[in-house]
Amino acid sequence: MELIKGENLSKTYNLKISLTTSIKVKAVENVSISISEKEVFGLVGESGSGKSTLGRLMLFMEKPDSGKVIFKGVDLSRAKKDEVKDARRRMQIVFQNPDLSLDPRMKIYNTLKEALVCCKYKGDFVERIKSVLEEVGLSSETLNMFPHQLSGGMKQRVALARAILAEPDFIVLDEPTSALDVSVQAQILNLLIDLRKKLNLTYLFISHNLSVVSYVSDRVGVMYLGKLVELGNCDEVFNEPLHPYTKLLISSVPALYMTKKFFTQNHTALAENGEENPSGCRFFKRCPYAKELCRVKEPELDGDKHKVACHFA
Amino acid sequence: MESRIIRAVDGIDFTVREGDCFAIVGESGSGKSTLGLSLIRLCPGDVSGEILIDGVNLLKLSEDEIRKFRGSKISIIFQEPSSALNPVMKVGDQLMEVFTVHGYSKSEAYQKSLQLLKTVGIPEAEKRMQTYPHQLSGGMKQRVIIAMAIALNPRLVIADEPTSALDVTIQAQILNLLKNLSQSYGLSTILITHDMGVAAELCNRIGIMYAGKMVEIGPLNSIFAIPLHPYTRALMSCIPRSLKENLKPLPGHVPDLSNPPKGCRFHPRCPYAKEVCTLEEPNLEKIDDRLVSCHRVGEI
Repeated sequence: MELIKGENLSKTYNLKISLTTSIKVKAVENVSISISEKEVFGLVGESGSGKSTLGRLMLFMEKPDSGKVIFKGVDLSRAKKDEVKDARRRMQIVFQNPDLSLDPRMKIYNTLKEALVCCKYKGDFVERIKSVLEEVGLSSETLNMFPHQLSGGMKQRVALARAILAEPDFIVLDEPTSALDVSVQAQILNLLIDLRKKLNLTYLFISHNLSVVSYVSDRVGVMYLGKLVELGNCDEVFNEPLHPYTKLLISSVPALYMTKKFFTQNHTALAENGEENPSGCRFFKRCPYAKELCRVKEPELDGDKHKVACHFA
Repeated sequence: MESRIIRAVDGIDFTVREGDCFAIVGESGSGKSTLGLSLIRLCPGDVSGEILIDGVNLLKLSEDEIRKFRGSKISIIFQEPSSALNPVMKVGDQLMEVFTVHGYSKSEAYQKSLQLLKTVGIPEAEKRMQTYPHQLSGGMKQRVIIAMAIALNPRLVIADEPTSALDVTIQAQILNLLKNLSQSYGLSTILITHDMGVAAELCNRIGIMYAGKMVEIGPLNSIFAIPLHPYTRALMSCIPRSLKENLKPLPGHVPDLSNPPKGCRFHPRCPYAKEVCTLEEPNLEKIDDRLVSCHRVGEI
């Protein structure tokens, strides 16, 4: 069953480049995704591809310029204030860097208490917080500590605890392990997988790390310069990618993690300079297969289960 | 103010042969960057021991001598290209400085810098000489840094997380460039990284660091095929691969180096630890083609 759906979402930012001039950056353009209950949807792409913006749009943290977000059948752009508030409680986010997302001057207990106050929790705060801490693998001694007394992995566990205190259905995980060492990353990934089963959670998992995404996700979307260029089951996308950009990404991952190579090194050499091609396909300039049609006409995301936006896939 | 003494790097021996690429892999806090900085004498703390390049002990050189040594015999590439370049100086001028400081004339320096930019694969090199760092992408900036590092044909380049700030497609290009350069110039490289995959792409020998110590040193292929030290094993099984095999995370975290655990530094996290591991520190012992420091290496 579908839990959350984004339809034709677009977001443009005005970026000031000097005192008087600004340019428009199309961070997300006409992207639709739908995530089923208890699904892990992975979103990959390089920096600047718009994956974090899409995550924020799905949470309605950021209002889309056009398009709508439908959460549990409620269209959030048309819903009443109370309905949006209620929906918000059921959707949470965990950010990349816990040093920035946790208040350095608040004890862990107070940080976590805020989450309960916000969702008007009626029971005993201490009991509830202790049980959630246990679920994320922290001892109750943590309650009286400040963030700087904890290691990176523990801080990310606190951030996760804060998210699940509100009893959400949907969590956006925005690069949740990118700031962590591999041994700690493995701990957090396994924790995320366990929590999903235990609490029936649905994740939107955003990461630039393809091997991490392929480890946790059921379905995956690949973004390039604000567009979704490929979407499908995780195994299909990573084993039989259709879009040249996905092929390039997978070929660039060190062989220790992903052994598939779709491009030779000569091909990857032309990868820099992702300039926009205003009228046609955005990948045009980097694409080794590009033809005249790609320059003039923008391809649509097309297909049944495994979708791709490419004229020649 | 309270201060503590931290022994970030503790009694490390290793050799890099000519033309070799040696990877130093470890998690944050393992002391790998301190080791890199010590090698080029840029480390702020006290460094003791011997650093020999072609028989010259760097730790015995005077401040003037080491300055001449840096760049011409040994150089370093840092992780973050935007903080390694001067933001208010043109890229060309920064490159030329490497030459003029080492006694070249201005026109020679210009020609050589131009050539270098072409060597590291920067298109429209003449134009790029006149740009400021902020006008270049991250990958291009890292290419400029690499150009500086190889400018004077050094014997050894230390690359400290050279691709960690870059996207994967750009990372693949930079690794490719480093590989080609070391082959065509016969350069020896020390690659410092937390990423085993990056090490595997570039290096033929590898040293695994944990809490300021080397725990396993040897040929990369054989260590990746059969890791002997429990920490190396644990690291390998923490890597998510495309196959859905289960991750076996390592419990706990890297110890506080102002008060390291007694005995083997890995024993609090080690599944094979016995009493001897808590009492006695293991030494690096030769086993087949590598060195391993573990009391129980034969038994596990």
